[in-house]
Amino acid sequence: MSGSPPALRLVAAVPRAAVKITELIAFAAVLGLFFVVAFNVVGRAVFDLTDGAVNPMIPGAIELASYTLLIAVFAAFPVSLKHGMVRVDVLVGRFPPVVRRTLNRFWSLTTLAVAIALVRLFYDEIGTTYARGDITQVLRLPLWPVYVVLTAECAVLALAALAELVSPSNIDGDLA
Amino acid sequence: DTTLRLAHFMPAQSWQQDDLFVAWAKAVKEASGGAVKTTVFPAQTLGKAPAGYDNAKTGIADIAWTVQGYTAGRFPLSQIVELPGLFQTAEVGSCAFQKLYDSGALDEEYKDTHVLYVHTHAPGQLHMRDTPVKTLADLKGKKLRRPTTVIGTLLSELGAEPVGLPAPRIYENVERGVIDGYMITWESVIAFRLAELTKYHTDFGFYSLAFVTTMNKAKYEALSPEAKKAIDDNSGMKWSLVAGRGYDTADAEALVELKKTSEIYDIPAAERPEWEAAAKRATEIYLTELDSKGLPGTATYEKVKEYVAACKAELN
Amino acid sequence: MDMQTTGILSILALFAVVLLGCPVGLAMIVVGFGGFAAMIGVDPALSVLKTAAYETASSYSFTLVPLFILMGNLVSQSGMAGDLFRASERLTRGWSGGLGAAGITASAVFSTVSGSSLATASTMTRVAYPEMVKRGYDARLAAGSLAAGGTLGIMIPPSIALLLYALITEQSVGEMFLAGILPGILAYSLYVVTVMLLARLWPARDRSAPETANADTVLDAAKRFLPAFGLFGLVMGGLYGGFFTPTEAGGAGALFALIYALFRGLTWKQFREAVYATVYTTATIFFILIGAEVLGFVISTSQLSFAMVDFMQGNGLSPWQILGAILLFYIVLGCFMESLAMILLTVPIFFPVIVAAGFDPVWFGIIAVVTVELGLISPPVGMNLFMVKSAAPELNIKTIMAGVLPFVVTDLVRLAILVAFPAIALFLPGRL
Ligand code: NA
Ligand code: NA
Repeated sequence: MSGSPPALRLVAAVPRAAVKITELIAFAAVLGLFFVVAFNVVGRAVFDLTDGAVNPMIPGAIELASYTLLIAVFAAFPVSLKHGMVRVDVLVGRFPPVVRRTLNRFWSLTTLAVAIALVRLFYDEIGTTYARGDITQVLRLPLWPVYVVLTAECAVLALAALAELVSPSNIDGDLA
Repeated sequence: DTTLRLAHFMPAQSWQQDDLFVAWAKAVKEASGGAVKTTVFPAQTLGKAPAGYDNAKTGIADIAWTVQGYTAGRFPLSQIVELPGLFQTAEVGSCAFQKLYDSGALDEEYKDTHVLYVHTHAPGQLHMRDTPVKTLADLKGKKLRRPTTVIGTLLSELGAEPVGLPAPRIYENVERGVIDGYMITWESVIAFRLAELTKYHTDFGFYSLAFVTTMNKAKYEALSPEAKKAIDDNSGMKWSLVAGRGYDTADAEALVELKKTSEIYDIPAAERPEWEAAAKRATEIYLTELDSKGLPGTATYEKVKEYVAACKAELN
Repeated sequence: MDMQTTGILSILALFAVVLLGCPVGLAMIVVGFGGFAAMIGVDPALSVLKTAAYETASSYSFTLVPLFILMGNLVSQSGMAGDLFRASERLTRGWSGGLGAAGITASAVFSTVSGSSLATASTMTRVAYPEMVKRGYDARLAAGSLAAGGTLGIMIPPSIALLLYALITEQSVGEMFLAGILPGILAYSLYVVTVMLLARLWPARDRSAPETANADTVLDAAKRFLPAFGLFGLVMGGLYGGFFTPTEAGGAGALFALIYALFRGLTWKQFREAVYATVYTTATIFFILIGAEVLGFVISTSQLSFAMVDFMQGNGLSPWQILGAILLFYIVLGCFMESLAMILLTVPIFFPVIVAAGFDPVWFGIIAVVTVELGLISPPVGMNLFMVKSAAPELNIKTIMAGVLPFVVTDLVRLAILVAFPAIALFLPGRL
């Protein structure tokens, strides 16, 4: 938004690096998920062909895939704000620009609120799962680091929502 | 007047829905003179199975019926009742588990909620999609669903690859070929329509499962004294036994059904010692793990054995 | 206020905020949160938010979503689309409307490896539209056939739409994919007939040499179609042969798509683009999936579906009237709303009603996806129209809309056929 004062634009520039980092994490996690599943498919072919003599399958591949997906999804959220989320602008498209801008800011504010709520909820889980010593079902790895990652990713989502609030990247929505 | 929301994960057509939860709702309604009503939400319609306990804790549901082991490591002492060979019927298992709970030994594990009753199912069975299991060799490398990590250790000791899944997700995962087989009771094979997918059953019996029906604490505290009394009168051993007996009856009926369409194998006598040795190892691994964490694992295990003996005497 | 009233108000609020430009996923999250908070309390509603977000994003079943998306994106970067169009174009030379039929044929074959209609439309437009312009082809026919052809991406398996429908309604992914095959072939046939009829209305100049199909062109087509059909055979064969789980089928599909693309000279830049595109689509879908899960708590707690079924039965509505009302709603909504969002937004609300009315859930999935396909090309908001526009910026959006309208009619005809003959969708899954 060209109308924003420079100071506000600076605020919007701060989260950019954080969003970039989560984008890279999402990139890596999607590839990781692909690797785990693809490797296991090939591994199972080897296992079956050698009648079980060679077993290159990753133990707990299913669980590994689930947690990789979890990390990928939340890492992908911050950048997706800029790429536009699915919305319907058949009605708002007819509103005067100032109304549309206000509405969009309001939705960014709502996104910010949801992100902050998630930060708070996942942050609380770090302490709870750590204190309780919760572990994953198959690999029996501690669960709290997962919540550390989720908390950080949601914090970046909050930053990205704040940036959108201060300087929206696309007031027309992604369908235009 | 209060309306409580009771969440469970069995299908709407299961015996648990009618004979356990709706029956409980009716008993509480009568005991409270109609003041406490309960709406039962079956089939995970109010929360996924693994989230059951937390949903009661946070108030998403007022009451939840769940499997403690669906959240690994959170109910270490309760899960002792899952270890192989402790009891033969759900009635005795439930009675012993409820006695253990009533002794206060488990209070720390359930401090976030108000427990109504705990129970077990009878020793569970093994069910395979494509290949029957008669010997340990048949199990080697097979991906098998186990309900909890405690039972997973047993499967590992038997040479299989355990896959953790809550019961409602077995069907899709057998169908999709994610797992080769699964461990569950006879009655659940019928309840979850699993007989459609699996024709080879082994009378296994080397594990059981801990269940709890528990209530949101704040919700319970906020009840009127009369309502509280209606709930209290329908808590504890009485309903633990209803659940246990329900499992025994349903298992017997399910087995008759299954025998019509499926093959059911026994573990050959010559093989048994090896299976039992694995079960013993799994038990030792678990108890040692608890003891080394500073929990009274072995002591509690011995207590459960005493309660089992007492329950057998009382119930006969 | 009783819970059913809160439930109904929540649904109304949902559509209101969506119309006010609220992102669909966000709308479902906040309305779901608000509805649950109103019925039960703020703290339990916060727990719902946490549980829904965590459970949805860590569900193993859902891992196949990014994998199938990645597979399609890798194929899109591989140059396969160009091959398919060139081979199809030689096959249909001499037909009236030949180039349009070629675009549809190539889109259909491309759909056997891509699960996305947007990717199919935009990839095919990029390779086919310039060729059509060069030949002096009618712009309306070109744009219309490419926008419509693109919708085959979500009917012919693999399909992200059928996948999501299967996952949220707990149907078998394999059955849903099988159910899409015959309706996909039907759609393809009807589109080709449409383009040939249109060619008489809008005579298409075609400056190509008047070579007609012969043994050579057929052989050429077979050769160029082979990688797509090979990949399709691998994924579907592995799935039905019991060798792959659906997730593994997605993983194997992506792996072989990667190998094929590397063989065709995939660059690091193209690879990055394919993965990043997967990341963005994954984020979009999961945001809405989480929203659907949160909203699901309101729908179940308010027992809204029971209320809807009671209402319909109380008013003596027949199952077919219920279906008709739902389809009409879908068609109208489809004019304004993006495809996957529409499935994810409405299926949790309507599915229990449809099942209670006695309809087959697999069949309804196919019907729902057909209405979504319709929505993709129905003006004013049709994502495929925008895809064609962005892949061929010189095209006027009005031209695209004019070109696609006849295909909208075709889709309505197809919808009627599939409603009248459920066997078209259910024949193959029934044989499994
Ligand atoms: Na497809
Ligand atoms: Na549309």
